[in-house]
Amino acid sequence: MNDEPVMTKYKVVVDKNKCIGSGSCVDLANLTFRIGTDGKVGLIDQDGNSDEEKLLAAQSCPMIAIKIINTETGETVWPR
Amino acid sequence: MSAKKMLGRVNYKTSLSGKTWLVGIELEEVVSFLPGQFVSLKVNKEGLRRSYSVASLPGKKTIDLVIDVSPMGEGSKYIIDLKVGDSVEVLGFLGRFVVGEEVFATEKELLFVGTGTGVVPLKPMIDNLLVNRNFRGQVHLVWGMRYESDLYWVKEIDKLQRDYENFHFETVLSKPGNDWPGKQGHVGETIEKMSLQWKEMTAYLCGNPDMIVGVKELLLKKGVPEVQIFYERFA
Repeated sequence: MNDEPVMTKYKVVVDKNKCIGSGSCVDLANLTFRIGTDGKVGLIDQDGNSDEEKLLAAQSCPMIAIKIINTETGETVWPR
Repeated sequence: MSAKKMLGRVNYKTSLSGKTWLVGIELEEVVSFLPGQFVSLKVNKEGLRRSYSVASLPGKKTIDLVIDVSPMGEGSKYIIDLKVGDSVEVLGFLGRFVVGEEVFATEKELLFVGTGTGVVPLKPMIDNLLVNRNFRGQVHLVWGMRYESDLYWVKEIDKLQRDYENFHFETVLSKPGNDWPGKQGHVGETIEKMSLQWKEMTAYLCGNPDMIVGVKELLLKKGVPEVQIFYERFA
């Protein structure tokens, strides 16, 4: 994982109602996501991790609670 | 231990019960993870992933996954179609539902409660405690299922109970046959009647969201501190 923030084109949107706090997104992109005191995922920094890491983190979510939007095209990259 | 993508190959695949499969995936190297963690398998070309708890202990090249295919979604269909020798993309190891290192040094009473395949991450957590870490505290497992025909691992868990006098196991069936000799109903009813050191104990719950909510509420009522109740919800 990257140690330094990079400018990224993927924006992440978290649906807290779906989140069960499994933490897989944090395992894969720990500079973007964190588990809050409510036991659910929250955002630290949209540019904390690379686009690839954020996409993988979203894809790993068992509840499909993380949406990825390409800010350049407006396209929803995940879920498809 | 950071999570990473790994390539694996299906080493074996056997039916444990009607809708539950044991899938052994051989990875490229010996893997290290914490018992209770899960992996995410890529189940279609678009990158859809499904999460499955690891049923085996770390320190081997092969990991066991125990998967209920009754939902019949994309993940279930992928697992049903998997054949020995097939390549699998594994992302792991993920999740925080593990026994904390601070517990091993204690003799605390531990309660594990699983419904359905919620028992899958609990089994390696318990194996690790008893077999690998020589844990001396009392360890209780309450496993809820619907039918007797759904059960698996019963011999293995019974053996664990014979080998370790500090391990206690109850199977609870919500829809048992007439000749079922064990507990009937829901796991909460069995836990309600248990005589445990509630205020000192740590509990690990895994299964459907309704069970988690109900059992957590019950444990809080019994006096278990909220910070000592850990859970993993299965969708």
